[in-house]
Amino acid sequence: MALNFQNQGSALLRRVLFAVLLVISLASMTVYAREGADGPLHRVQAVVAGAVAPARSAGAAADAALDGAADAAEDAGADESTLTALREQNDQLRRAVAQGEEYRLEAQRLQALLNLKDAYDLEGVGARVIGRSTDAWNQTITIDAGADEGVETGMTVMGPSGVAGQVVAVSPGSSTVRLLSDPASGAAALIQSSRAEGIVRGSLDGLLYLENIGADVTVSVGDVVLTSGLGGSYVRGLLIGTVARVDGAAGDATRRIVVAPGESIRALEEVMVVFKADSPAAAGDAGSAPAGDAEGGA
Amino acid sequence: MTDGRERIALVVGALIALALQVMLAPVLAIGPAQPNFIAVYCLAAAVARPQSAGPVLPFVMGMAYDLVGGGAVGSLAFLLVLVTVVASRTMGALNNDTLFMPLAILVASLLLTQVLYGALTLALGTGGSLVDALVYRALPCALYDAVVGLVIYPLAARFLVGQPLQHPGSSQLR
Repeated sequence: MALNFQNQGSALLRRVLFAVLLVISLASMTVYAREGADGPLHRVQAVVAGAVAPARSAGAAADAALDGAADAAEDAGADESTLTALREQNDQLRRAVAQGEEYRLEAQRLQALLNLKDAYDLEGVGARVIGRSTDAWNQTITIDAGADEGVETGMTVMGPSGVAGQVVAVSPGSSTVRLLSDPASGAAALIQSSRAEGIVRGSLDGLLYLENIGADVTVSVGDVVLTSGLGGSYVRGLLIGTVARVDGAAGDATRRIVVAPGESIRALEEVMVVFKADSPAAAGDAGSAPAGDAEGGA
Repeated sequence: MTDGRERIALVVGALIALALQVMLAPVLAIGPAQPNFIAVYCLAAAVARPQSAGPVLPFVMGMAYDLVGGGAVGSLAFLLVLVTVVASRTMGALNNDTLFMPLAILVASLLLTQVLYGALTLALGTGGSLVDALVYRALPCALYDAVVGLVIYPLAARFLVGQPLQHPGSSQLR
């Protein structure tokens, strides 16, 4: 009998707990959706993202370790007695070559960032990508520059050949960047040749779509797409990418314009957070975006 | 297994799932699909121990997922609390002491979680259509989760319950 009461009490408690937790999670969702980027839940999320940033970079190291383990497993099959010396020498050389190649590629990427900085006369801070989104539904990266380096929510983030995304959460030592390809992203944009304005949006299929372009505007493959700066969310005149495909003709209400971004999301390793842009392109005349960069985005 | 030991095993498993989600899931992404270790663990635990599955573990783990990721805080917590209850009740009702039934319920509940999460994400303002969400995210992710679930469920059944996977009269999984 006593056990029966206990079971009934336990079942009741579980039901109450179930209802309470459902209400809490529903309330959290509603508050999160309604509050701004500076709201309490967004701030908590930013703090947690900052706290787990070191663990995310450990994950990146695990990726490299997996590659190393695969190589080691391959090497383990060789004859130890006859090949030891040669193998050691070979390992040393291979490490040196790999390291040199890594430095060369890094220098190349940093040079591209510097070129972009010079071309647009950007003021900002460089950062390394130390983590990627932990879930499939959000296209975000974590970078190792945060409030301590002057990064603020809403700042534009550039990759080596164009706009990569926007800072959405900042902690003292790291920041979360929502990439342009995220379905929740949107950047006011214009086509360089026709000056037609629209909005570049990310999508669930991973492509960038240029929307809200006037029906009478002729758009061609290869047209350069830049940020227009309207709405103030992105710095004006920065390269987003080039038109890769146009489904439908001018006047067609269902026309879809696909933009090939300057950046491959998976290839992003270093970025620049833009504080200010002083070039004519960024300040007003977006048509004067550097040709080299436009080519880079093609 | 004593109640205390079961709880410790549950918490240790939860911490491992969280660590895998933060450190390993981004590395294991295949195209648009990325494993959701947290959902898999919570649902595997609910199916493995349907009588004692409560709403606290899925709520806490869902909240952790939402806070670590970039989604709306509370969305996965809400879904996991709901779906784990449905999964454990279904398991309680349909359990026929075969390995097929828990695995089928686990896979179905993982698919349900991904589909509902996609719908919720769209409802909360992410651009895109439901079809895109299904084709490009929910189905690939559910498939990935199902594969991870087939690996995790036997471990959950072994360490969280400490019982053989099948009826005593049938051959055991080795």
